[in-house]
Amino acid sequence: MGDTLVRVQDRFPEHVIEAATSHGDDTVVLHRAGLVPVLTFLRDDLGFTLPLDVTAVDLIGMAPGKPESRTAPLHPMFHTQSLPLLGVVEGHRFEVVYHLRRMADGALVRLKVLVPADDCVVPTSTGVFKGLAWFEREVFDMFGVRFQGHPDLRRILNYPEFVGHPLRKDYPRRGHQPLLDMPGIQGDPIPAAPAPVVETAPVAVLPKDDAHPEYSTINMGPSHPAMHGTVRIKLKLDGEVVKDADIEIGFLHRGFEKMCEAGTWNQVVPYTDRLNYVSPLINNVGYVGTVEKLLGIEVPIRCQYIRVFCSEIARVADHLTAVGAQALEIGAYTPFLWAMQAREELYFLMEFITGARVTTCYTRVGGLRYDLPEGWQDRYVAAEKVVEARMVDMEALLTRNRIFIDRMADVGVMGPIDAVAYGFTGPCLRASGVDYDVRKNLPYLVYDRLDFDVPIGTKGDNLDRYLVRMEEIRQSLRMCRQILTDIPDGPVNVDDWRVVLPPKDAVYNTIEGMIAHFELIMKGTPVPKGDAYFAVEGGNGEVGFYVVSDGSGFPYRVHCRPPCFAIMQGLKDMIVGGMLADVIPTFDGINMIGGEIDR
Amino acid sequence: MPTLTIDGREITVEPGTRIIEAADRLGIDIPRFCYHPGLPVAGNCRMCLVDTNRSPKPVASCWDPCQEGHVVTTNSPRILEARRSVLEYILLNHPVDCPICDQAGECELQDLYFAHDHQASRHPFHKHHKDKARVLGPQIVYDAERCINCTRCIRVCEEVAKAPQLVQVQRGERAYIDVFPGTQLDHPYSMCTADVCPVGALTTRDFRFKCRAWLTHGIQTVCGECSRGCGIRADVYRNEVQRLVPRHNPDVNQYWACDHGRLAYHRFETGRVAAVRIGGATTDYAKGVREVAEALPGAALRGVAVVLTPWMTDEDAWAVVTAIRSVAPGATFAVGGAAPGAADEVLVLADKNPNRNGLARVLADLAVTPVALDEIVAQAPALGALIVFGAEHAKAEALAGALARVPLSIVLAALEGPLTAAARFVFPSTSPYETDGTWVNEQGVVQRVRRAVQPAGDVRDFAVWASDLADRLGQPLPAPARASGGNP
Amino acid sequence: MVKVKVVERPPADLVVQSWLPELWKGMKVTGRHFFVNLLTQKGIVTSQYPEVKRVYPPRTRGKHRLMRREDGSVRCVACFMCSTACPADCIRIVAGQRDDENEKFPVVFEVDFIKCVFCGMCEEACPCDAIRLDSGVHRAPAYTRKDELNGKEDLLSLGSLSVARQGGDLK
Repeated sequence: MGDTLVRVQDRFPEHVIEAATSHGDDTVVLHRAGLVPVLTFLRDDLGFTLPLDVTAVDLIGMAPGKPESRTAPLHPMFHTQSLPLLGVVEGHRFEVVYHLRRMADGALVRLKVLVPADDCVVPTSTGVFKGLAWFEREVFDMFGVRFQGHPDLRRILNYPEFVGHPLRKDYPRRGHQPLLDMPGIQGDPIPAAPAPVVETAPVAVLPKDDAHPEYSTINMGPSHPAMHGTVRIKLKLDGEVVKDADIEIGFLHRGFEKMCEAGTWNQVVPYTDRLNYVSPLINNVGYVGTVEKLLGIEVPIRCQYIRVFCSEIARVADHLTAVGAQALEIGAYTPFLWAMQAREELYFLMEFITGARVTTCYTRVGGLRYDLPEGWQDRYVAAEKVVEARMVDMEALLTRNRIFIDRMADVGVMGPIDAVAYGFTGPCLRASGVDYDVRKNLPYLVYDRLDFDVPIGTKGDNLDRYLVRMEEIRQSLRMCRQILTDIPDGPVNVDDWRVVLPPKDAVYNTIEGMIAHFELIMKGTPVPKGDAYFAVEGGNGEVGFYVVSDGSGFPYRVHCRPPCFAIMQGLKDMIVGGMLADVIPTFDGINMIGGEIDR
Repeated sequence: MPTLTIDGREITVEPGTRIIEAADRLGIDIPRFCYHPGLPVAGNCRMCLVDTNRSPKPVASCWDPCQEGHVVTTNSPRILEARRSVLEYILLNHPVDCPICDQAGECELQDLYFAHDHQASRHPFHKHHKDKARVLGPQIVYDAERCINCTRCIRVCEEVAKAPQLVQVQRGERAYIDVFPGTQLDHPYSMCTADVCPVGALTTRDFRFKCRAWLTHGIQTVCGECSRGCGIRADVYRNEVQRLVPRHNPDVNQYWACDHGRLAYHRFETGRVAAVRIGGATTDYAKGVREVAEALPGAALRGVAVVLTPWMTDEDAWAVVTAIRSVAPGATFAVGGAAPGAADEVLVLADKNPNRNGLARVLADLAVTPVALDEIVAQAPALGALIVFGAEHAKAEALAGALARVPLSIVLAALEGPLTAAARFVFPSTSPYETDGTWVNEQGVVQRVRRAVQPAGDVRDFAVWASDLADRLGQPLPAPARASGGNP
Repeated sequence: MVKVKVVERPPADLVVQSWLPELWKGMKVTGRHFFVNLLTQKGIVTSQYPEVKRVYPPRTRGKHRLMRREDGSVRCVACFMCSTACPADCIRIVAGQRDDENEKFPVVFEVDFIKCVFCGMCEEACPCDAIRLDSGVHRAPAYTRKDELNGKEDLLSLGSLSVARQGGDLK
């Protein structure tokens, strides 16, 4: 048992129900009364200062039910109506799951609070970590668990008039919402909305301030060319100065986490393309890495090199888009087009390798869809030449440009302590001067074999974010060049037909291959019961996946921890006090990707 | 009462219990092909081998009876290798048929290979070819290449159906199953052979190529074709019943069901009453209920007669009687139903209605003494209203005549027929696969009929119609009559 | 070896603050692009579509095609692997019986291109090499929803002979 678990148990014996390490993750199951003291202890005494995530799991589908008399598997895709409620697991229905990170050594701790259905209230963690505010809102929105003491407990991804809590297991995938009044479209009946356990007064957003009649409240977005994602920022302005702001997201919420429960483990991969859709390969890699952690398997070394290569070219594409858009929206159109030209080369390379520019769907549990094609090295070298040439041109126009510097320097400042408290990761955190990078602090795949630099900023302003991203592009290309020479030959998939589809000649010609193929497609790879969290360094920061398995080939719960979700919480602090025109480069500097933040 | 240990877990069983049965009770899954809990033991597949302290060689747990002090191991390396070898042996000549075989998704060979073998083939030679897609009878097709010769089908015919129509012919790798020359596999339980077949050797013609098993979801319900009430599972895909298979119910039908009951869902595929009709003209449900509610009190002055059907659930019966009585306390009730038919010594009973018993209990509870059906037919000219539930009545022609003579004639039925043609008001009602409620079978076993298919349009349960009518009459029923229990 | 590196901010010296030297340097870059493109067109990335079409890499996933056997019959045996693997549930198959050794064939095989996301999981799932996404044909828009339903004939029209050897009889 890890040191963390021992110390928590010793300090709070009355609160801890269970402490164990599951697949390498230290997990503590607590009574809800102990949540705030344990969180405070972890933050102040044990160094877990980075709040990653709060999510929940509806355990009702895990309750044992009587088996059918004949084995007929139930592929979830074709059953849109909800499962009948089988029963409650030992008095509690929900598990509220917290993840915290100690940046120094990359250690993770997971806390779980068990909540009964008729009393689903948990004390808020926002007093300890302000960066968990939006995550708690999401748990409330999706599961109906209320957080007592939360300053702003509103729905975040669904619209306010939404009825019910969609990630509950008794909410059907095609649940019909009352506001949906379209002829010919009739969804499935939804369960009645649960009565609130704790009455919370409706939150007044940007209330009218009688002391300042000169303030005006305007909408920035969602129909705004710079609010790509989409996002809506409600601003309270005093002339051009931002006095207060409220960020509204959820416009691109498509029910990713619900759809993950609709198929096998591999059928989730096309959905992960559509999370951060500017660097989809990173999401592909992150998701299958989590399932492989739960399965306890390691992919062959060549596969690891390929996954790193793909992640890095995706990262370059992501940063080129971020930097290009940031320049574009303060008026620099030419560097944007050069960034797009460079990105185009990379998209062609991705299509060359995976078959599609953006909807790559390349990784599979246990390996990849196929190996790299012949000629990939030459293709990469050709792409890299263009990217580097356009980078030089972009920097020549931007980095020492007075207008650019004046618009970006000291604008949108976020200091390191606040950044960590908000749960910032990625280029935004590093721009604030904190040197946390999942590839460095918690190396995965073959990052520990590569030489690269992790750039950090000093002031945490927009200029630092721009500079960090530009340097990261160079470092990614440096890593790719190393991979070109270092990548070994060998197999790309694990050699186990319970995980990976057999090769096609075995499927066509042998009954064994055919049966393994059928079982994997019909029922998926059986993953042992349990849960796991795994993170990769995405374009925006730590992209974490938390998966729960009920022992079958169909995921029970898949949760994505989006890096820009945490960062957008901090946007308000970064724009309040600044000018209206500064909102745009600051927002661009965060590089919010709608698919990732809203899922 | 011997006590034995299986994989370190102790259990005490009745004398004569086989090791595999004891393991099943402990939740330890010993793989098997030829063993079936409802059939006599054969012991030919060798998949269920276990190590015991009573024998130097592995023993067949389906055969070996439990003894005092038995120590059984089901997962030693030798046993795991034995299982793998048995599977490899069976697969040597097994055709690469999964894409065209209906059993895919519920095939015990597929599942056991995946769980216990999952190795590549070591067999570079030709496979032995036999007859494929041979029709053995009106309901069954046989593929000899897929057959693993477990003989479950032969034992089903001999022991369950008491009609030994199948035999195993030839020997060794040439063995296969066949019927006697000039005969067919045509006893009333022939489809049970496809149920027990662990692979796709025996498949039903009714389900052939219709739908893939893993696309369906199964709803546990009860067959309504006779008063035995065999437990069945309705496999549904895209809101249509694709097939019915028997469900294990130790109190009623064990593992079996007759072919007739399993094919009964076809009856409800066509000829459904599609919409509410008043005087032959289609209208909507709300209007239909409203007009009945307006006309019924007046008709009640002359007299209301109701023909109930022993197909209706207990909830339907309670709701209907209560609702009608609220406006017509003197209403007379009769019980109709399908005519009796042939019975056999296995499962089929003569009463071809599923809930006569349950209906009688509900009527007794509500202090209703049903009159004879003939009496109602005779009374017809004097009646104000005649309401008939269900279309399958033995005396349908007489009832149709009676309906024609009554001013307010109402029929609620799922299928069109002489009754729906004769009535002024016609309401579409649910088929047995759309109904949800309680049936009590002839033995007195209370069972839950579950909705497998969502009804379309204005189709309603009798109970829902009665409840809506009662609302319209200003006398809402005390609580929705909904079943809440479940089948095992 | 991973090193942490602090990024270098542009200096607030006279060169940067007076913006004219940087303006000149910037214009040299844009000017270079301008004159190279004007005189040689070497840097122009716009392609003159449709006279010049972009070359798709061999793995590009385009419209589906159904493959045939040597005797010209459709290779698909309606096993439903593709429709099960499809994350968008966009393949509709109705199976029918054939009188030869292949036993099963698709009476209806329809792909709904409104729902299809061209992920290629159907191609991966097919145990018969019956469906492929390598036609190289870009999905074309249609005017009605009905036109988006591509049936067996449409998909076979792009198809050709597949020589995948199948069935367990190894020579």
